[in-house]
Amino acid sequence: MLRTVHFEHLRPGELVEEKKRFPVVYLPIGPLEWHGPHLALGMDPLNAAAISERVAQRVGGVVLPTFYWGTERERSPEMLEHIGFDRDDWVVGMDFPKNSMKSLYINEDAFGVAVREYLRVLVEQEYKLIVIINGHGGENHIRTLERLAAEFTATTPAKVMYTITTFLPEGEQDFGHATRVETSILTALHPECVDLGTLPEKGTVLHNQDFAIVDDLTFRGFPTPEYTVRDDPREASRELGEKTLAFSVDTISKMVTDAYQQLDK
Amino acid sequence: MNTVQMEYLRPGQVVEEKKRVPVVYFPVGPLEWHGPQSPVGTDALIAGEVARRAAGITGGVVLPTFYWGVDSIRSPQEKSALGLPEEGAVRGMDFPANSMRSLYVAEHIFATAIAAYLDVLVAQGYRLIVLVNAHGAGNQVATLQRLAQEYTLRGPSTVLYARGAYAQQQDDITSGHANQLETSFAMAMAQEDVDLGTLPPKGVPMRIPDYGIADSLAFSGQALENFVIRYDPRGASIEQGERLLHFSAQQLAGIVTQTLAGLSHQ
Repeated sequence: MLRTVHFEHLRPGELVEEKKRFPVVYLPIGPLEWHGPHLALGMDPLNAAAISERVAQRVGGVVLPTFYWGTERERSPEMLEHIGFDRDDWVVGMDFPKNSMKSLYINEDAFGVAVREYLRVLVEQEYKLIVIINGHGGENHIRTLERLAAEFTATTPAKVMYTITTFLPEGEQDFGHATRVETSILTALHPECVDLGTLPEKGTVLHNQDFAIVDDLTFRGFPTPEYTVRDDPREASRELGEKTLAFSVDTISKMVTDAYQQLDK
Repeated sequence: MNTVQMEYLRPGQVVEEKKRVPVVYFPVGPLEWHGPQSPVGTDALIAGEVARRAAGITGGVVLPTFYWGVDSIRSPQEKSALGLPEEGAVRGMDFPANSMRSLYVAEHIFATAIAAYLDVLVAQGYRLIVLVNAHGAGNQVATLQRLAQEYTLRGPSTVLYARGAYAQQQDDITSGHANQLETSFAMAMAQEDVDLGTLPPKGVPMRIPDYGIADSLAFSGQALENFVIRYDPRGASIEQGERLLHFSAQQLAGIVTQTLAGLSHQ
């Protein structure tokens, strides 16, 4: 049993032993990004890091330092319309005009180059299974990671597995941005990083454009007539956060175990 | 703010702190062999810890540590100075006897990655961006210094290159790679990360090529006979490490304060 799963805190002998026993390495990834005024910028990568740690503790392997990188693109005219903007507005990712600061998105080109290089180094380390645990929902971010995972799996001795971080328990459908589930997750992980007092009092509607908080149905093309937020972050709870984390850990642990077993075949 | 780490801060806190002290620290260092006794994150962990302590003095925020670094292929002269075999390529501290390789990235991609992050930080409107580097490889230092100069020239932010580790005379003689000084740093940050039991008992000479540990005089061609390590890690202590961390943070904070004062006169 490793004393810690965190790569940076391990000594060479510990890393070598664990790699012999279970040659799996996890790469948690996500940008520093606006998540409403009420959540810390590290929401996505902090979530990815926590899940990676818990999965590694359960099934084995080591966790790389979180890669605080992520990318986004300009919103499509259709998506702008769903959120309540004009079709010809220029909005990148969650950086809505009323936000008090921009996210630290890296341009897509550099993001791809950096992730490719990191994967090359990990293949060189002779890990058999490299698990990218991605906390960020940007479409181009996901496409880049999926593309590189497929390419490295096809062209190197390692299998690179891509997965999103959050899997929702039955009955839950909130894949929104900075809404109830994400707020619950951060409340469970780092309560000091959440301040619901930065939002209006309960009962006051939240408009997408005012807070850059957007619910799942809106992203799917079904906004409310007033472009307001459902799955309100003010309804978040630590219990929902813990439940979601536990379900995500169960799901990803099974995915990693299955992928690892298939390697032997 | 109860933390200086940007990833734990909300937008309002980041904006307020940037108004108060428009400084962001960017700690950098590789996952690298540091002898069998120390964690592979030693350099990066030092950079992160010193940056946090310095930010505690000066104000400003600290980015998550970027665990990347580079090193170059050793020249025949360098190999000879460290007691390494003439044949075969040796990159940085990845000596043939080591049980694993460091996670060095390619130099040109390292530069691309740092430049991409600097672009983002300049766009954030920071007045001063401090690259805090605790990895001593010549090409790492040169890349970061070059980018700092280039981005400063380009403006409007000033990018300062700074070391993560500093030592007073009493500690400086123990410097090198993974020897007493660095091991003390690592012990002070997380005692459980260091295991001196992975080394031979005190009194048994340790040779540079056998452990991937080297003292600074050896790097400059003045190794002891038979390439025995001076100030080996078995002399490390938490007390020395804590003294080093404190001193390093004071030094870094002093440089940042001075640079900021210079900027305010411009």
